[in-house]
Amino acid sequence: MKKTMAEAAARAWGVPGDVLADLPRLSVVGRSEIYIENYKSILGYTDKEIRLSTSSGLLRIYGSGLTVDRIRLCDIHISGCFERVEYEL
Amino acid sequence: MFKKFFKFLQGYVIIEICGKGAGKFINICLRRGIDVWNTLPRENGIKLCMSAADFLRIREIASKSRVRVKIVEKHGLNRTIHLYRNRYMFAAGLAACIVFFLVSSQFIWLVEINGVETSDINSIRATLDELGIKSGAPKRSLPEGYDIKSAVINGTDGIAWAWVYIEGAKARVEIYEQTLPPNVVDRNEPCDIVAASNGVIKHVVVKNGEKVIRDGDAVAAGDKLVSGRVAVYKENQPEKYMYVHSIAQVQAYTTHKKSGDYKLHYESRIPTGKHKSQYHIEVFGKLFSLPAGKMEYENYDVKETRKELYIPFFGYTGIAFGSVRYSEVQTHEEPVSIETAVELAKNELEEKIAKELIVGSQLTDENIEYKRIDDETINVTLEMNFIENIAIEQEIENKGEETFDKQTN
Repeated sequence: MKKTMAEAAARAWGVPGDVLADLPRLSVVGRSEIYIENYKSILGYTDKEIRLSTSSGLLRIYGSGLTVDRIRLCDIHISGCFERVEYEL
Repeated sequence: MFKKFFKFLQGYVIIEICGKGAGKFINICLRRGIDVWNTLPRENGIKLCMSAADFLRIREIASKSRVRVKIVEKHGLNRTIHLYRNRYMFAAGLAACIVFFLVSSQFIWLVEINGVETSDINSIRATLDELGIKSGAPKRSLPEGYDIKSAVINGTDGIAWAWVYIEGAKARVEIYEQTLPPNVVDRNEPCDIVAASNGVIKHVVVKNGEKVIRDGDAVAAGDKLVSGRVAVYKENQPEKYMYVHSIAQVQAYTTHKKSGDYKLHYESRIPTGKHKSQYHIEVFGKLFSLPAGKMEYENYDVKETRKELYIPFFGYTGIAFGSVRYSEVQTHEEPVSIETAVELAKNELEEKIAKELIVGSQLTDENIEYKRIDDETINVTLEMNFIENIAIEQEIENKGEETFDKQTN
């Protein structure tokens, strides 16, 4: 509820959701690079699938040759050949 | 680069985490401020790098996330020292190498002089030798930069500025030569104007002196065009002369003709792809050639290269590696048409004529002819007509006794 309110407030005030509601921000460069900010934790890691926990639910990244180039507490940089990115609520 | 270097200094381990809780393991590590990098997925876990100090903190994390941790590799300075602790000869060689470079860095092993085009390089080299800037000279005994500059400038004519830069074992001498101003014409000195080349006079403008030719006259190189000996008439007095510095512009039609024999084929050199190299090492100015096989190529192109060994923060070490690369070529004689041969000949003959021309010449007409000498050779003659200022000053010879006065305008 708190998150929803924060999201609604962010939308109403025109403030980016990742700033106010701590929502994940995904930057996708072509099919080979994804940069994710505000993720919570890494749940699974193989070269075909990476599962991340975020405030918006479970984020799944599918592809081939996936590698985590850099991982920090607040952001993660993934490279490889992506097939799809999906949320699981 | 620096990050890698510091990680190496710090020491790090590559570990493999096996178990379903590998993701949890990474999450806890990150929350506890343990940096991980180079994470790669493995069949039953993850392979990653972490610092050696952080590795000692993961025992609890591993048991909490129920994973097995296995060290795959260890890296770092401590590890390297530990590995080589019993290799005394290696350590001695390394120490000897460091001492060698430290000692050799105290001397000059190569003197490089740049920027000399017209000045006497041997004179500069002799001056530098006198100052002690030569191969084998200790750096601490080098004179001050300003003393070197003064000695080089005073020791050789035509040098405007000089400075010596010490780069490791190399002394780089940068020279800037003077750009000499054009000669100032002494207008007090009487002179004639003579023809620089054969031609037919088009137009003469005399500012000083007495004209001795007319428009349309044919003159040969060296003929007097304007005389510096000018007659002065005074009533009831014998004729006398004064000598002046002649100034005139003499426009003349000139013809320049050049000819030469040219082959009706063109020699092309096609690389066969075979190479042979001869290597040599230059140590403190001495050249040591490495043995190379016999040269079997009949026709070849040669390319020389030289690479100096530099060490960061030290500069040139006094050691250089060089190679001479011989590339085999096959020569082919390809026939060319007469038109092409004449065109190539024209370019060459034009270049020869251009060297004879006076500055400011105007081309009026040109004619090229050729005649066949045999099946393979033609003789090409290029004739070019110009309008040129053929006036050049010449000192007056045999000045007579009847000098009335010496004046200038």
